Amino acid sequence: MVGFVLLVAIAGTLGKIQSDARAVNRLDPVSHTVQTICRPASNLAAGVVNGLGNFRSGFADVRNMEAENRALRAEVAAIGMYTEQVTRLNREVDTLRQFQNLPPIPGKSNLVTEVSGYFPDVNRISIPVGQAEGVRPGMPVTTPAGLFAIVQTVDKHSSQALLLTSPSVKVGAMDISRNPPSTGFLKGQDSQALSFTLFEPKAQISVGDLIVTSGFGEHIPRGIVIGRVVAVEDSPELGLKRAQVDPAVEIGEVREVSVVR
Amino acid sequence: MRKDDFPVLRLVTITALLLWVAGGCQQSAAVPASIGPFAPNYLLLVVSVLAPYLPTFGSATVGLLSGIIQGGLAGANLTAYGISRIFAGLAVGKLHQSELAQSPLVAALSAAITVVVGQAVLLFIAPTVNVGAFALATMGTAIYNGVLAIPLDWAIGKVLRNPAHDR
Repeated sequence: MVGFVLLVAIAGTLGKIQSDARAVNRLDPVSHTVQTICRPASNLAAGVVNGLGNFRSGFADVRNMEAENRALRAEVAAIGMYTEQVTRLNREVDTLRQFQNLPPIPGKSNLVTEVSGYFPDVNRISIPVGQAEGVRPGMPVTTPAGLFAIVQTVDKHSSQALLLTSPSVKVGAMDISRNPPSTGFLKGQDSQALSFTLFEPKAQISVGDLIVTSGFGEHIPRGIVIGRVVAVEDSPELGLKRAQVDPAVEIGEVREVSVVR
Repeated sequence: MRKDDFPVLRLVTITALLLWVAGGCQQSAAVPASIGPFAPNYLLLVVSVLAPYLPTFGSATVGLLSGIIQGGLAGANLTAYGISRIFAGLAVGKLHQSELAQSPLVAALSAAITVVVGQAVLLFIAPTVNVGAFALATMGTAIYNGVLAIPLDWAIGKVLRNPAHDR
């Protein structure tokens, strides 16, 4: 009996150490040790899984992949031209801001990485980039489809991010299908849906509207796609207007992500 | 080293190795290996297949270690995962103390029971919003682990023979 009490006490102590570290957005020493020890086994398992997956998809879908490759090359060429245009316009914006005595808009860069661990039951992912690579708590983790997660704890060369579907995540969002856009905040509801609460209960919103980040925060820039409205819940007596949002990112299908620094 | 220490040393080594591999697989191979709501939990699988070779306290200790690994990898609550896995180890340890003859069916059932007990205690300590989805995922994992336990139990049995003597 004493032994079991001791085991429970160990678990409680470790939890306390973890909570203290998380309060300052740091990874606790126990989790750090576990992650360091398990990393070689995890890399090995990931290698086997990815190898098998690539072999299967390549073998079964070689013709489509050739066509997709051609299409992607064409897209890359088009993006090159678009990037040139964006750079020119950004330069013009900077010049105009200088005329108005406004500071330049802080630049954002993407740090591309792979998902090294995926824990859907606790709405978390691990990524093999951390403080040394410029990752900070609160930074958004995106995929080409849109916002995927928010960095929560940062270690030297690894980080953990909470998925957008986590009830602990709260992101400033707006409905850009409306003019002017309706703003509010978005919270994870369950593993499939997000809840968008509008600041203005009389704001217009309807099924199919596109929701993006509002940019009212230190780390998350404006305009990252979050998802589309699938249901609207109006409670005028409570002065509330909420919408259910289907996330744009297919959670579970993601391998590569970008951290927006 | 005394000759009698060898099985204990072997058991400890195999336990550490299995937990290490299971931790790696839990991080990288659990989601790709899932089929709908049926996702494996490799760490709980290790707890269940080692239980016949361990005393109840040993099973509970392996349970705690598996909880620390799972919580540590996921950044999840270490207390909740630790305690829930202690109870899972305790339950499967008690089950194997009842002198059940080792068979594929017993291995599958004990793997399923380990998952159900572990997740039920986890739900009690760290309640989730969507209990229905959690219960469905737990059932899926119990079935998945039950299936995986059959070949793993056979393989472990080949390495760790004579469980009654070791106990």
